[in-house]
Amino acid sequence: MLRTRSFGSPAESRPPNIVCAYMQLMHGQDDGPPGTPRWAYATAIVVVVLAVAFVVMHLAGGGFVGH
Amino acid sequence: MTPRVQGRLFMAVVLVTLGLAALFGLIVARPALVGGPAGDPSGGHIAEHFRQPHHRIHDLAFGLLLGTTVLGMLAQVRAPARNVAGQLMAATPILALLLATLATDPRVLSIPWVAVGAPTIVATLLHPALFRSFGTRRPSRPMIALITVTAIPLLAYALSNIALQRSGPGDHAALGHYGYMAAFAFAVVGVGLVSSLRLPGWRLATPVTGALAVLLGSASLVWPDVDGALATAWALAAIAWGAVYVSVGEIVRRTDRLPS
Repeated sequence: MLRTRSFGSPAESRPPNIVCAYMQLMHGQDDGPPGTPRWAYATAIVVVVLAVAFVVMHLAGGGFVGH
Repeated sequence: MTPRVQGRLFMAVVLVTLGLAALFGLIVARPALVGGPAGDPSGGHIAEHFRQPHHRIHDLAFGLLLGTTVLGMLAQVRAPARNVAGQLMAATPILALLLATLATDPRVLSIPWVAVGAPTIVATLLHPALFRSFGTRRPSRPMIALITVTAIPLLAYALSNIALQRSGPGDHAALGHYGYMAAFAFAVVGVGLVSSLRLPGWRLATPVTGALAVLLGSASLVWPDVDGALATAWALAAIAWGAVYVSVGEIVRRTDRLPS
């Protein structure tokens, strides 16, 4: 469940801060500690693309059996 | 990405990694499987792995690097959240090989470690508990001190192998073997640091760190004349250090379990 917080004063003294709620929703973070950052997803995609390119180029050159 | 989708994707990547590792293990055991379709029934260079005496230390080091990765990935199959250190341990040899490649030349790149390494890194980035676990780290000073002590000779060993890979003639350099040895030295330090952070599942990384040092030292004593072997005094020191590191890790673990 999404938990909203108000900054600067006890949460119970104010209604939920809609900006905080929106930011948490957009970043996919609900209650609890922060999860996977966006840069991790981007890096994962780059790693996959580079690895596939390397393997395809290496195999196209007949490089596997010859190391 | 929702946690459920990420968890499923993570597990799929883990299984792909383990499947690829098994495939390459099978190919090394039966080189003709890939050699035949590739037009070389003998299996070419693949057939030389673990079969040519002068490559033994290098082959062992490479096998231990990928073996460390496989062990860390296997730990994810059951309980990823309780094996964060195992995931970092799995990624460490791959990052070490990448660092060795950057420090030397592209001959260190080879399909087995790139094919197994890429999904390992992806799994690390997608790990469902990795990033939120950093806050739970409890570095062990005695273990970090032991890593610091061994980092100096290991980095010297890595630098000498980097120099050989850059300038060395012969088939070892052509096959990237000196780069693998440099990566091995980096990996011992890296896996040791992962272990000493005491993230969830750190107890797996401790014996692995010790085993890497003990096995390199033992292989050097068994095959002292093979390229890559440590001198006898250093081989004995590596074995002793590995044993001490595992013992200190066990003491730290038992201290953890004592009621405060």
